[in-house]
Amino acid sequence: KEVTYSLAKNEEWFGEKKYNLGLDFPNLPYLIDGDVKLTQFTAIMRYLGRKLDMYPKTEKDLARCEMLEQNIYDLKTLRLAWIAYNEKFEERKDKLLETLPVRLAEVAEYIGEGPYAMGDKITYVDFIIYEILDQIKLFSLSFSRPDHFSDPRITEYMKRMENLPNLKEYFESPDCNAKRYTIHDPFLIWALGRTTSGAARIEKNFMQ
Amino acid sequence: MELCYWALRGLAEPIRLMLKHSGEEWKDNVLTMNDAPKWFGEMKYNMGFDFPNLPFLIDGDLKITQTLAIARYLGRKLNMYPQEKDITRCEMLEQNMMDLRTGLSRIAYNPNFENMKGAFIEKLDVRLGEVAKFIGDGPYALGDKITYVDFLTYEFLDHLKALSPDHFKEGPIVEYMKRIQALPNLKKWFDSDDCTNKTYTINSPMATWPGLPNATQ
Repeated sequence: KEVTYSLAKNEEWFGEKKYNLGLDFPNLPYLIDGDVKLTQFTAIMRYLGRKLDMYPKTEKDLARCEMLEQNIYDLKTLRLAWIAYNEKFEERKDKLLETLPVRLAEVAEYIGEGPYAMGDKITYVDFIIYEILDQIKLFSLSFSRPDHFSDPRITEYMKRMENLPNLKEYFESPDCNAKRYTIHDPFLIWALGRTTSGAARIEKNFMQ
Repeated sequence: MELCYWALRGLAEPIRLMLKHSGEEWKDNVLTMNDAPKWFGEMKYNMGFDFPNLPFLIDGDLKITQTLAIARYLGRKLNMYPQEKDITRCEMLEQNMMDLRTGLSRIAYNPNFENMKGAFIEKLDVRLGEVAKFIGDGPYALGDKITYVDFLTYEFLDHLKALSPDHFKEGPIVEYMKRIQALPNLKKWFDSDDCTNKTYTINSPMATWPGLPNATQ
């Protein structure tokens, strides 16, 4: 079951729910599964990975998987999100655009022929990588760097993920979040938007 | 086993403490600011890492980067990993402590630190309250068994304590930290003349708020 909270009416979350759901560390996203009440994106993904049999089996695979998980999450939180919410975004984006080719090449090298990040078997980390790569791709395309996504190891990997039957159906449906949701909070300084007509940039005055 | 990181506490100190506690043989490869050209120029891209970065751990054939991947690997190797029933809670605490640490970095490296620190410290009332409730009587974060998450939790709490000592006067967190400090190998380390807490900053020495040794501001 998917519960979404509206940013415009965020009193529902901050006012009522946040501290009344029995969460140890109240935050979004949260997952409730019977008695299990979880927050923290990575903890949720690993929990679902174990539950849904999408978890690495050997110690060596697990260590490498977690390193990939952390590295890709770093790219999202310490790089993309860090600058997206910074009022000096315009200056900082150029630096990120410069470093992306190296970071993406490392991911391409790791994935190789795949088919999945950890080889033959799909794992929870594939969903993290796919989504974050897609966000980075929107960033790169928005600033005229399609060359960041020219390595076939990455483009073919993304296509394979997009062609997973249930995901293919989802991505093609009119309700797909990618058509409606911004990547970041649209009320903060800068966010990437996506409409059915392509990438759109939303700028809001941070002090409003 | 070799752990490599800058000569500061930062992200690697929890791993150093875990290794010291374990009694395992390991090499503490420390890079000073003078070594920066050596790291960026020679080492970083020539050591066979999938994702070159610091800290790194080399254990036989295995070459790992990313603080949490290293901590979890060592947790499994050194028998400091949660039992199945506790794994999910452990990971949630791990991520929460990492969140708090990232939040601290975000202001510490910001030129506007002095104006930002008030809001961050105010939020600690709630955030530290959550951690205190989670740990409760302990003795360790997950209960009876010490795990890798204890070293992350202890060390990052100590970083927060340097920023806001008022939040660390008494209560479950203070008692918890005392218990970790009393672990035999750690007690020996903290009491020793060589203890790097006397010399290492919490963040980079170039940060707006480096978190000086024995900082009490």
